[in-house]
Amino acid sequence: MNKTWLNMIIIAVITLALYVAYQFYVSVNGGNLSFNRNVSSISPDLGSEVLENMSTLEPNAPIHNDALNNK
Amino acid sequence: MDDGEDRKLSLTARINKILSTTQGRTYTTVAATILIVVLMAVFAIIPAYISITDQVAANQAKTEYIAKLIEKEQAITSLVKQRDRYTEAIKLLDLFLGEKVNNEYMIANVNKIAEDHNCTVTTFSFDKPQTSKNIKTLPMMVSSVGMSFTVNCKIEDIKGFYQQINDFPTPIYIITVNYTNKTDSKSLIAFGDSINSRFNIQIATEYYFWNVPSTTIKAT
Repeated sequence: MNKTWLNMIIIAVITLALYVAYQFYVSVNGGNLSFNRNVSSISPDLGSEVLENMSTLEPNAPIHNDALNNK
Repeated sequence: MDDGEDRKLSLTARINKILSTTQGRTYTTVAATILIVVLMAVFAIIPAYISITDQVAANQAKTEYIAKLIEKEQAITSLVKQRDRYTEAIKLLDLFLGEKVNNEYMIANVNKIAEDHNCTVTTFSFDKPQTSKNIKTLPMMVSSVGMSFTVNCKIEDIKGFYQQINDFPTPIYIITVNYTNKTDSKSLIAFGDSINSRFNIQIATEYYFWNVPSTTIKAT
């Protein structure tokens, strides 16, 4: 077989192998994914330290009732 | 015959010549097999395999999504339990650091604190809500209301009054304090007189509230 032909076949095989490898790489890493949803995370702590402190602060406010609401 | 037919015959003759030998048939079979394998790989196996890896990646993404959803659900469940547990404390927090301006509440309490310490509030004024200029690190949703008042106190009562203002559950930031005494401008007063005399104390403060946008949906 002509050496030029052989070289071209080798180049073609290498090109094909590289292309297939790239396709695999993209696929494995999720490059072809159409599924794209995000979940915004929230803290599971309501701030219990602050809330537990509320009962100790309550006596420091001499007047607190719902009537005082600037209506 | 034309050149095309000559070439066709020549090609057929060459193929026949190759296939007429055992070695030629072997090489031809190997070449055809390799060609078929390559064609299968390119048009069938590789797309199928890539489809599988795509699906695996999609499943991985969905698994992570579900895990985050479960984590969020657990967080929400935990928050609901905490809300039920701290219902009273949340009501107090809403009162102490409410979601709107409540000048009436501040007037009532400052006045009561003053009364408790034998002081008298003589003037009260409020500014419009705005972003605090005194505390730069406040979250965006916390707004301040400038609150200025004048109390008339004996100097011995001032400490207690300040202490209770400091301990007041709604955060009150004291910006400036000015003391005036009527006798100051006329003559120096003796130390004993200064203890017994009453001072007008002008206090500029600001208090804070959650400036929640009206579009925010509140849980009931």
